[in-house]
Amino acid sequence: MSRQSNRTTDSKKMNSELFTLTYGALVTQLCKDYENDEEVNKQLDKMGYNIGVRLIEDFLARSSIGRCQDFRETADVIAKVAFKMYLGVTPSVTNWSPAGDEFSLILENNPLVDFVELPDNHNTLIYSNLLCGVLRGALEMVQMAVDVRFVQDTLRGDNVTEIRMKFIKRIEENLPAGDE
Amino acid sequence: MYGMLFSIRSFVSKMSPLDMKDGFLSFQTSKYRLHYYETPSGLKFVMNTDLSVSNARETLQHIYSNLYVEYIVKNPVCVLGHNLDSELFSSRLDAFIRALPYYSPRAA
Repeated sequence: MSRQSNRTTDSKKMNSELFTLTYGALVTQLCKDYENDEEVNKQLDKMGYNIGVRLIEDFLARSSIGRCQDFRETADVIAKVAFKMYLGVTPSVTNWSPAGDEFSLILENNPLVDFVELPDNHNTLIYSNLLCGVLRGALEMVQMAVDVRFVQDTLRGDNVTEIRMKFIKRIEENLPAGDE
Repeated sequence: MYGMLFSIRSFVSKMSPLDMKDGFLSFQTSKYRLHYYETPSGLKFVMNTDLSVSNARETLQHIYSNLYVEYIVKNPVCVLGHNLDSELFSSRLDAFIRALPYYSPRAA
């Protein structure tokens, strides 16, 4: 019994290390290609967006979660189901704005940044910016326009990683141009 | 067809006295039944069957999770929103439909 559980945790650790290393190689290559932190941040966001618009379909298919009734429910689903499913961590949802349209996700540990240290010449680089793009792309496919930013990052010396999400508006479904 | 489905869907949601759970499921005429499944991401699945099939919702859900997501979404070459261009998807979908219990080629 214990041998079986060892095997499953080992295979999970193996996958996450490969993932972390792959992400690191990706960011490193982007830095070499663009040589400008702002450009790299933008590219990571764009790549994240492209991942997000597809990831949402996989998420909906695997979790069979229906439509969320409000932004609070969305926040809970993102933190407790989505992050758990894809990154194996469960951030906490805090710092709700009084209007209920903005909240923070606090990540104690970010699997993307295992083994990572930012060198001094890259202090405007948002290493995990891919996550912002993913969240933005995924929510856009469920008709929510949001703004996602990092406000704290353990790589830049903060204690935790904090992602701030702000609801901008509901995207209305457009009817395609009539071609009948 | 989109206009018709959109109208039926908004009609159903307005008519529903309580919180609408699944929304519009299917409609039937004297000749066929149209089954409808919509994902929260706005993707719409439509299947037309004869009148003997009462509930194809699970079938459509299966097509979404196991065929569409696997063969179209996860394929970077397939552009979402354009025509579904994957041979693999078409052949798997075909095999799946033929294997359904209520599918039977009718003798001409």
